[in-house]
Amino acid sequence: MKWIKTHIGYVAAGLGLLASFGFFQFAYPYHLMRREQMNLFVYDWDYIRQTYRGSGWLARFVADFLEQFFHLPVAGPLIVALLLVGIGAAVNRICRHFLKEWPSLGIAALVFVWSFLRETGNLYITRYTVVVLAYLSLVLLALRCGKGWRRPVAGVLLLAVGCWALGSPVHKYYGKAWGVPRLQYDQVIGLDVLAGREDWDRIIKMSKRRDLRMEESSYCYNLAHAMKGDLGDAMLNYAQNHNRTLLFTVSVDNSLFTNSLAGEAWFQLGDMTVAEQSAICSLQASPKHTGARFLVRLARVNLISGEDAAAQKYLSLLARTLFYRNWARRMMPGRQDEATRAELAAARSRLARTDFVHHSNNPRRVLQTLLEANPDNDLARTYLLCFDLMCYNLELFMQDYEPRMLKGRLYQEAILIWLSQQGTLGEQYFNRYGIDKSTTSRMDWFFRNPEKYWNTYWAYYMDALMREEE
Amino acid sequence: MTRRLLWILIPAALMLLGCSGRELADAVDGSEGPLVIWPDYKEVTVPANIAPLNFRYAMKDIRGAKTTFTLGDRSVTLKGKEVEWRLGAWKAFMSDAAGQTVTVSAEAVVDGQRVSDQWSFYVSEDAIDGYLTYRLIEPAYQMFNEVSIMERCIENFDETAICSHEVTDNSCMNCHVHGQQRGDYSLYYIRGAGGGSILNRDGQLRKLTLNAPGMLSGTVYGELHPSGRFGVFSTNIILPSFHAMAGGRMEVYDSASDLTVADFDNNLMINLPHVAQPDKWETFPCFSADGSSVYWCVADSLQVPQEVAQVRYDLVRADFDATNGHIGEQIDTVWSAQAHHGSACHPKASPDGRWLLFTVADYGTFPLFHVESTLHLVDLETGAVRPLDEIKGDKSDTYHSWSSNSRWFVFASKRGDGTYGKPYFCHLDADGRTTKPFVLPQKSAHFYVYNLKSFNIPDLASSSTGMTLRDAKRMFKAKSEPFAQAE
Repeated sequence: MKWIKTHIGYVAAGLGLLASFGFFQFAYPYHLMRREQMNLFVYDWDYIRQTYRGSGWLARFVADFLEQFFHLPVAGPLIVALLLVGIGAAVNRICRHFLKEWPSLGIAALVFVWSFLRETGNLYITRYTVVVLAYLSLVLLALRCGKGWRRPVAGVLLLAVGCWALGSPVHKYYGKAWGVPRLQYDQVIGLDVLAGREDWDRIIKMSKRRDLRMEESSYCYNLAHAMKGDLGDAMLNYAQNHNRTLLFTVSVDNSLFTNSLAGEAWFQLGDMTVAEQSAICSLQASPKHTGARFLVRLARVNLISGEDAAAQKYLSLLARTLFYRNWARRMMPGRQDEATRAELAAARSRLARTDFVHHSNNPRRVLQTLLEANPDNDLARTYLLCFDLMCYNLELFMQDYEPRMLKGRLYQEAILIWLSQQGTLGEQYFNRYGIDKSTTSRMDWFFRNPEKYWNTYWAYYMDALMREEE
Repeated sequence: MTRRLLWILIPAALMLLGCSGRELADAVDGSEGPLVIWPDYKEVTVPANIAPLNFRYAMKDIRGAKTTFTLGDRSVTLKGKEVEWRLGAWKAFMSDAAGQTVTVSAEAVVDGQRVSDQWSFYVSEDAIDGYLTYRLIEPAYQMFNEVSIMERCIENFDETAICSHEVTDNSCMNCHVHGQQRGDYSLYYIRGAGGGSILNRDGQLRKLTLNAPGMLSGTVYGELHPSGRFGVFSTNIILPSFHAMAGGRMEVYDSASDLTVADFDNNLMINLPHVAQPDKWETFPCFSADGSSVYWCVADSLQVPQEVAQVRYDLVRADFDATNGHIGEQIDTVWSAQAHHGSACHPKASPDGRWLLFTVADYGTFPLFHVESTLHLVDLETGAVRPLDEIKGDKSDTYHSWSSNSRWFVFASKRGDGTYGKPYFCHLDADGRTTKPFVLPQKSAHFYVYNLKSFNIPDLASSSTGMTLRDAKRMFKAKSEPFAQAE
């Protein structure tokens, strides 16, 4: 107990470190990962000279340097926790010049909590924390510079240095004054981060844990299942908003987050134009107009589109980063190996062969064009069928459906509705469309107890009919 | 002490790790010849007052590069893969270079083999206007964030912001154009709430609302009359959309457009029915050098986007009456879209009255995304029109502007990467012969690799606008002068 009392500062710092690390590592993990995806740190003197100039250059440089490590598990939360504890420690030391131990600790704890909450804010960037810590360090330095007239002079000089290297201390771009953690939103960000990493299994696993009831989470859920080939089974197991949660448009009417996500599905489907615009809009919206994730996407889009000069531009930047350099070097035109060339050729086979102009708000036509170019594009067919289903358009669904190509529980349920509408429910047609006995008997059970079968297409369709009647 | 050393050594080691091997492959869009350079300054014609032509050897596994510039009996040798001049040394070298050819000989070790190369560039006796304005924006034409209009002195590397998102609440801004290449006569827009048209006339700034009842929209594309009293503009409903095929990227089209004239002295919009026909789309107006004519582009209105590939604009001309701001009713076709199976955009008359430059794409009104778009030159003395195929890049060339001596023009070209517009300069002699264009020089030879913004609507001027961010801030807060419909 006595030891704790004499080392209370260290104990408090340790607890703060553990608490903030634990929070960002386990409760709020995606916030920092996304920050890294919107950051770019290039190891090139020309780039550094060009990028980090003017007021606040040092703060931007240090923050970008640190943020790149958020790519790694553990590193991001650890760095942030250290910065926050550093702020607390600096405040404590400053206060100790004027106050006793406990009041100093109290103030330090308050500033630590304030910084911690700010850190959880949406679109918060590490620079803000770096600036606070650096200014506090300058204050400490000024306090150490002797007494009498030396101290104010040192203070003014250090303030001038701070303004030059860190930016004005009252600049409005140093983040919001207050932040509150949004735990659910962090999970949605997580789905987006994982979509960017094409980690479909983890998206499905996360979605199973919790239905986040946000359009963006449904979109990621759908994409992950479509990539795994079972969207026709799983789509209605999760909240959906009509056809809106299947494919997003890139539009001024959407949030930046939605526009950023929109490119993920279109890229996998083979529409490079919308995928490229989505990535450029995301770059534009990111705090520093850069972002490794979006540059990777732009490089891939241009490699697949055959725009090697553009791809080379993005790859040249990525090749000088710490965590993307190997990938960029492998993809660089002129250095690609056989496997890379085959990967690109496969992606190119998905591209549309005929052209038309659209606003990305007519997904059906785009999907049809992609299928005309490559009838084996199962992803496009899945999205087309699901789009028809979510629009309640069974006529179009039956035109697009190819029983030998794709199987899915929801498809079979939709076909049964269509057959009943045609008055052709019978073995002959069940065989033609590959409908098994379990589906027909499930339909019987559905009519007896619809609520139990909430995730069937029958429930979705009946709900629409009832709303129409109302 | 050891710990402190570690703190320094770890980042330093990481930096070294990242900095190794800057050129990973030969540049796809580099120069020809045994030594590939980027930007390609081989065999170009440049003005004597241009900033240093810094470039890099864009080849992998190159080392020991030595580059020697020779002019007459003097020569300068620069060592290294990045050939970057000190401004003073370049100015001294170019001081009496006008009318002469500079020979460049280079040697380097590539893949262990010694390789040498030689090329030249001609220094024209014609100087170029020293100032270039442009908007820096990501090539996303639906959205914007943190946009700036910049002015660059092309005789050195000085760049200043005329207007920036920082002083306009992140509003969009666009289309800075000079009148008669004068720095003290220009106009640009700040869009959105608090926005307006910022007119710089003889250095005096005014904020105008160039809109009146009955107009489709506020003014968009346009040009200022030599008298200072008028401006001719289009009003457009502009819609961005996507091409389904990769590489086609975006299509931006009008669903309606008209012409209008602004009278800056009387705060009037002069809307004439014969240049605002409901079944026609009129756009991209400009004045002739003496202000006696207006040129613009006009197309039949069609269903868009379904028929966008059939929308083709003629280039037409009519008289302009500078006493009342009226565009004449007699409209002559200068270049027929139907006859040439193309679409005319962005006409700009040369200050000496001899030439008119415009862009031709296969269709539509936004050649920025059309790889086939080619600059065309009209000889206004003979009426002859010729495509400038000899300077065409592999991607779009458009948004051109003249130097005040009519011997140079600048245009935005997406050649190479196809995504980012860059200003290219081209010399034109008295007979209309052009030379190989060259890109705006930058201090860093790697600038264009790192740059992720387009240089939008580059516009030349003989002097600086003198406008500052403080002016932009003042104008943004100022009340906008309303304009009324003329009787």
